[in-house]
Amino acid sequence: MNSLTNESELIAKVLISNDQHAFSQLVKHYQQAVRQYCRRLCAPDINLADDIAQETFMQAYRKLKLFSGKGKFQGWLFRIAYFQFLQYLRKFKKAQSLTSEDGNINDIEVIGHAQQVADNRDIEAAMVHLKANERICLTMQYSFGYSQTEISEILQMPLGSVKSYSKRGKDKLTEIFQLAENRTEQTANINGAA
Amino acid sequence: MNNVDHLLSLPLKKVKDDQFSVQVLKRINHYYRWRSLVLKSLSLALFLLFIAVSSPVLLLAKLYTLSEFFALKFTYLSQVDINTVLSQITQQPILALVFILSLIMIFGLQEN
Repeated sequence: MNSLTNESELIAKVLISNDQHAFSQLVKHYQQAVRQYCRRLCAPDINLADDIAQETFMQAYRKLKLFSGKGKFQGWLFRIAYFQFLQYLRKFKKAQSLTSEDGNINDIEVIGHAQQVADNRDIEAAMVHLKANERICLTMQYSFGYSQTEISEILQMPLGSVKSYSKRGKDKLTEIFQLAENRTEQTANINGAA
Repeated sequence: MNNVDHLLSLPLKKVKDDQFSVQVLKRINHYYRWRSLVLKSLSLALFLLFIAVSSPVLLLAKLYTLSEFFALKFTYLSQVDINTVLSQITQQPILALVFILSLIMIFGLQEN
C-alpha cells in the first residue's frame, strides 16, 4: 500500500481545526487496509467486518489526540479495530471463539468446504476454520508485513502468544489443505471408478 | 508448509470504497449532532430545575458565594476552611446543583 505523504499534516489538521475533509482523506486512504483486516478478523461475516471498520474510524476520529505518532497510523487503526472486535465478542458473549481450544480441526466442517478450498487453494475459505487470534496474527504478519514484536505491541498481547497463535494457525491451515486435497482425490477416484 | 506460507503471502482481495468513507463521515456528524443535542437538553433541564427550586434572588446570592469561594483560591485557604466550604456546598442541594451544572457546561464546551 502506498504511504500517505502528508499523513501527519492531515492528522494535525483534524486535531487543530477539526477538519473533516482532512479526516475523510485519511479514511479514503486507510479504508481498504482496515476493511481487509476486519474481514479477516470477523471472517466470514462481511457485514460485521464493515460495521467494525466504521466504528474503528469513528473511534479514531474521537480519540485522535491519543495517537502518539510513534508507530504507524495503520497499526493504531488495527489496534482500535481489534479492541472493537473484542468489545463485540464480550457484548455477545462470544469470547470463547477468540482463543479457546477446539482440539482437532472439525473434519465435517472442512469437508463441506473441501472442494472450494482445494480447487482454488482458497485461503479465505480455509481461514474461516481458524480462531480469530490465529487469523489476525497470520494476516498482520503475512499480508501487512508486521513483525511478531510489532503485532504483540499493537494487539497488546505477549510475544509468546503471538508466536503461538501464528504457529497454531499455520499448522491448522496445513492440516485443512491436506484434508481438502485428500477429500478431492477420493472424490476423483470414486468418479473415475464410476 | 512453504505452500501455506506462499498462500498466506498472496495479496488480499481488494475492497472498493463504495461510499464507505461517506458513511463514516455521516456517522461522525450524526454522533456529534446527537451528542450536542443531548448535552444542551441536559443543561437546559438542569437549569430549569435549578430555577424551579430556587428564587432568582437566592440564586444570585448563591452564585455570588460560589464565585467568592473560587476567587479566594484554594492556596489562600487552610485545609479546614476548604473542608468547611466543601461540606457547606454538599449540604446545600442548590449549590451542589450549580456546581454540577457548571462542570457539565465546562466539559461540554471543552469537548465541542
